Amino acid sequence: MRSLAAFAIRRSRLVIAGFAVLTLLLGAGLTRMKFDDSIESMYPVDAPLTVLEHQLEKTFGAGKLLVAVVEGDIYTPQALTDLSSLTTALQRIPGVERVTSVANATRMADDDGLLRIDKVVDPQHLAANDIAGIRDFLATSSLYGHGRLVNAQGTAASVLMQISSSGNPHAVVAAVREALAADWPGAAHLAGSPLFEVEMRSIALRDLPLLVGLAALLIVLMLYLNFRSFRGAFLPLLAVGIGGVWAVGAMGWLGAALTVLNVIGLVAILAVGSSFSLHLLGRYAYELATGRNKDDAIRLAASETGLGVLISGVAISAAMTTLVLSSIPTVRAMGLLTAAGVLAALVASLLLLPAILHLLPVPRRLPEHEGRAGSGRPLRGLTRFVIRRKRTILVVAVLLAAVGAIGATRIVPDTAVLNYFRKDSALRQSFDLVARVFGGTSQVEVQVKGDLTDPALLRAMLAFEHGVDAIPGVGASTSIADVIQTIHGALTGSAGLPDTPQAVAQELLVYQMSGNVSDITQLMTLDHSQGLIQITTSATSTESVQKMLHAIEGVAATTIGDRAQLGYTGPLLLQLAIQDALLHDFIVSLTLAIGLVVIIDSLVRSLAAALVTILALLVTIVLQYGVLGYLGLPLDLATMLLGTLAIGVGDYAIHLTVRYMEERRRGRPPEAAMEQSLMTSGRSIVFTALTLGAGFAAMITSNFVPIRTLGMLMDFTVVSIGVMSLTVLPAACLVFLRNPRPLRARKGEVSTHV
Amino acid sequence: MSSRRRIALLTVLSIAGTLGLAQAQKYTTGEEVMNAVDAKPTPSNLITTMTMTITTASGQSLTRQMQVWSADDGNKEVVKFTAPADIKGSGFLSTTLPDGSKQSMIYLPALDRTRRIASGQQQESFFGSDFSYEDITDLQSGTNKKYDSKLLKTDPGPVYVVEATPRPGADTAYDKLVLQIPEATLIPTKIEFYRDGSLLKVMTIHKTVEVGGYTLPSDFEMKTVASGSTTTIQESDFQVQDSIPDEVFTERFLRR
Repeated sequence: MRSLAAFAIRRSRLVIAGFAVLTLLLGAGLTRMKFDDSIESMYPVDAPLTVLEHQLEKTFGAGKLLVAVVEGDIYTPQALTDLSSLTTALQRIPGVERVTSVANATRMADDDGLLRIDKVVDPQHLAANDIAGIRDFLATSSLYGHGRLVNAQGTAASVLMQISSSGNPHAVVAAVREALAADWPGAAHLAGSPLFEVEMRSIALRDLPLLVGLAALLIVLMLYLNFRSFRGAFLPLLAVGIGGVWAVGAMGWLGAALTVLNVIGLVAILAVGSSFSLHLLGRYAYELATGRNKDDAIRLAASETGLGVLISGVAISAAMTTLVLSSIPTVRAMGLLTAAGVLAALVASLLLLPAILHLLPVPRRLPEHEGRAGSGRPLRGLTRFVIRRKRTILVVAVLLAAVGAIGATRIVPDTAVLNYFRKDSALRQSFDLVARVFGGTSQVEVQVKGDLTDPALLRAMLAFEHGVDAIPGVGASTSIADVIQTIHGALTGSAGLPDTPQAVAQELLVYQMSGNVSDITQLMTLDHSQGLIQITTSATSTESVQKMLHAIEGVAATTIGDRAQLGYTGPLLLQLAIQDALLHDFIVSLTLAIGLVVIIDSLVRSLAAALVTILALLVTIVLQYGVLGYLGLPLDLATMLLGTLAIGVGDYAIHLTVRYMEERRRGRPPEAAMEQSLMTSGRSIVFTALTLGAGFAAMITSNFVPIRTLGMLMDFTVVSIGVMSLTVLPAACLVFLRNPRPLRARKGEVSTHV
Repeated sequence: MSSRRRIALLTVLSIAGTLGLAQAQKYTTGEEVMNAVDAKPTPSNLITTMTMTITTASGQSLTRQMQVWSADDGNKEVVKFTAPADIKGSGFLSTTLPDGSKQSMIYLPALDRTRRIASGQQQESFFGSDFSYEDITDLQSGTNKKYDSKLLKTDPGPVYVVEATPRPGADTAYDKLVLQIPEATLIPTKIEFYRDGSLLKVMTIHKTVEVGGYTLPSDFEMKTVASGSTTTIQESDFQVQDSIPDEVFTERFLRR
């Protein structure tokens, strides 16, 4: 560290030029930055549910479902004519693979001995009796019944659109909205997964500049409050700005894409990176105030405090790098961005900051340093309290941890993508309306592998559909069995299904003579070996989806049994895969992060010191998840990240441990050493907590619920860590670390430290 | 050879080639080309074996084999499926009545039942394939009656590129066709079908055969652009007949 500091002072202009060139080069990558708003970036790529979903999408051309609900008096000639125009207009939109509405639905019917296969709605024939016929047909059809296309009251109609997975959902949704405005005179609402991507992009375009800007502003404010100078406020910002540009620019050059979750990473870089400079500038000011010359003050700050900064920076990066093990692409990208940005900010703080300080004149006014009046009095009172009540504090901490642990058991995972959006958002309201009118916008897809011409299997599929209909939250189901039942009824005049596989194949042939072949291939493969049952559902929360899936599996066991091999997937069920992945990531990342932080902290200090420090952090994390449980906040994409972020961000507590060990090495008894440590490092800890809290507070303004929740919880966390660092950690040091043994002695002990 | 001379020679050759091409070109308008196509003799009565393979974008495929009896320039037609086994024996009979309307009937052996079915959906899928009944009919009877034609260009060969747009009141699903027609065969090798201004389907004729003095397409493919599905039809065992007995186009024959 001493050599590094000496180099930064000796070659200050070279260092600044080097940073400028590197920032320009890497910054050019910003222009190549892409944004990934795909919903797939939120799903674990290798999970069996995801793999099956892609397989079914390929096999049945399912694409993504976009549902338009139009309101009005549907059973009128004008409304049906408008629906026909709308359906035609939607079919013309590039990227819309298939449109199903009452306007293009077909029916097979016996017309005085003549088998007719024609459109349900003929715009040329919309007299009162024709419309009554349409209404009767929709009420009784096994394919379109259950209010699939028009609700029972006739006040709303749905238009189902299959959107190509490879298409541009933004262009498609914009064109669909245009068509709805042009061709439907009444109210219209949209729901479906393509809207998630549109909404996520819109949120990200708003959040990325706003949140990062707001975080920077709040951090600058906190830094100004600490240093009372523009230099103190803006130099840290320069270091983290460079960190952000390097990290995002490198992502651009590497062809990686930003996701909405990267907002967390950028804010974390800002907050954590600022805290590095905060410690260094604090030490620099302190050394100047004690009479050292500029270069000596820089050298001491960079070498002594810099060591602590280096260790905590590496520890944070290591903790965030553990997220690379996640199977969710957006979590991986966030982890990498944060780790890279924090490392870059660390390098800028340790090298660029000393170089700039060397070239700048000594500040005329120095901030209040530690131990002086102001923060000194409350810190002294706190120190006395901690020393007097150290065991009580530890007992309270253990009790708090126990209460937190009990609360943590109440956490319910909820990874429903819909819940990532605010309840009052237009998107949620639209989805709620569609769910109310048509019983849901989500689908469970059941893959059926077997001989789909086997009448016994088809009968079992009908029984299954009938059975799942009784499950709460489950709406209409569709399968090839419904299509065949419809054909059979029209051909023979009798209800039920054909008796032989040959009859099934031949009836399907009849349907194909004038029906669209995709009516069949969207539900069954051409070789009849694989089928798809689509179940509409209004369930959203992960818990209700889990229960519903369990119930569906129960019905399948009693109706289909071993007649076919079944597989379950669909956008709704993918949240179960997210849940499994998150739980896995949570355990792996948190364990690894704790391990890495302990190892990194102990490499240059002592294992016992590292363990004591991490103990304080663990109490905070347990408390954090307890709060989650008591407040009824679910474990989701954001709250899963909380533990790992807290371990990384909260490692600033180690500064107190380091200071205490230094005081012990200098021969002070434990209580006196801790008093001196709290009096000198307390202010830095308070302002680090305030700076971090200010940065994460900006996330509370996000429209993306996980980011907003994470912002709130991270604020709770940094405040908790601050409190723990000033209470539980000193108490733990006084009880468990009375005689610390460093792994190696530090050379050149200095008499005063921050 | 100096570069100036080389350029002069190339220019002369190019002009000569263009003139030669213009002289070889027999037709100068789209109407002339399409009249020539329609004037090309085709058998009025034909029996063939058709193998149709439908392949979806995801790679699923289904092959069906059928025997087709066609009489009176396609006004009477019987299709009998011979494979796969589960639909073997199924049949389809279509006849055009004197008033121009069509009467159709299907026979399903598994149900031992014939049913009259309503026809007239010319624009719908031909047995679930990428071809529509209209595509099949137009292949047999030509498009000249329904479309106005314009010669877009003449490619080397010569191959005429003709744009056909529907005449007012024409019963068609398309608003434009673009055909590539080699002068040598006057059988289109490629047809692009447009609807609502977008390319909907592309048909390619890969092979023709000489049967009884007629040149007939025997191997063709239709690709639907949006869905990515493809249907290939291979015709074989062509039997050009002077006439086909009326009893072929009856319910009894269908059931046989």
